[in-house]
Amino acid sequence: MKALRLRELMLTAHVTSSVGFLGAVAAFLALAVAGATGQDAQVVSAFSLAMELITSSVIVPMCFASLLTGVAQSLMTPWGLFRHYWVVVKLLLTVLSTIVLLVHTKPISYLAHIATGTELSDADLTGLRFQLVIASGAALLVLLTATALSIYKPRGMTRYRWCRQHGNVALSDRC
Amino acid sequence: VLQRRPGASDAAVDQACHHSHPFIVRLLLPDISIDLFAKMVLTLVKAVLHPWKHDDEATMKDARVTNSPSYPGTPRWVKVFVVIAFVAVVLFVVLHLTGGGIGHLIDHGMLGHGSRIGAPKQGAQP
Repeated sequence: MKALRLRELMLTAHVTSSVGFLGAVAAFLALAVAGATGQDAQVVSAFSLAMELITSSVIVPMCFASLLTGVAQSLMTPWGLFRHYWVVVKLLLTVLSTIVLLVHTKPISYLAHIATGTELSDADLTGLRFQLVIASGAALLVLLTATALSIYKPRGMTRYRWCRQHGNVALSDRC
Repeated sequence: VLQRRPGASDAAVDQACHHSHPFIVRLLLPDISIDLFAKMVLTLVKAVLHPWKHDDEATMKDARVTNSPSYPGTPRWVKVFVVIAFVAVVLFVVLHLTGGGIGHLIDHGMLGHGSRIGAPKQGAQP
């Protein structure tokens, strides 16, 4: 009973963090698009500050929370971490998203730092803004894919699980 | 097989085995055929490497292997995903290595040119 409650708590935390992660990335994409296409320099600067705030206070914490709770959740349930392909793929997507996110936190902070001192009217920043649009759009696509995997749970057992289930660990001919 | 033929002398055995068998075979198994010896060695090696396949131990393990279904293979959607992920990762790495990524814009594109953002542009009125 206690284990079941703990499992439900972990599931709640995982769903909350994952949905929050997805929503924050969607909000970031909206700001990035508005910043890339905006004409008013002050408004674009405000968008940059908002993007940095969302990244540091929502996206990064939610990303790590989603990753950690997902790993804990899989280890606490019969699904396991390496038993089914959809879990492995979801883990891979989350890890890659985390890496790409950490790579992009520096330019986001840089953009916000520039925005605090002056107006963003230089043409060099156009490429950076569009890079952020592309990155956030790709991240949103990846997170939607992970969400779909969680819901549909496509079939496919890993070779490791198959061998364990059929007791053929030592009999490696068929595994 | 391992017993010496009745009536054969030591000299006759040596003579028979001298040209066809290795020395160690002649020493240990003077009257054994080389084919049978090879089969014994092969069986021993198989028994060491794959003990569950040894003929004498073909018990329930072998029966379980025979009866259990074979691994159905990796699903198609996983293969498609692997291809897409590989292309995406390669694209990401190439984009950043060739200078099209964000890091290049910061390290070289903006700061490297000395064009401080917000600084007055050339020809612009102060």
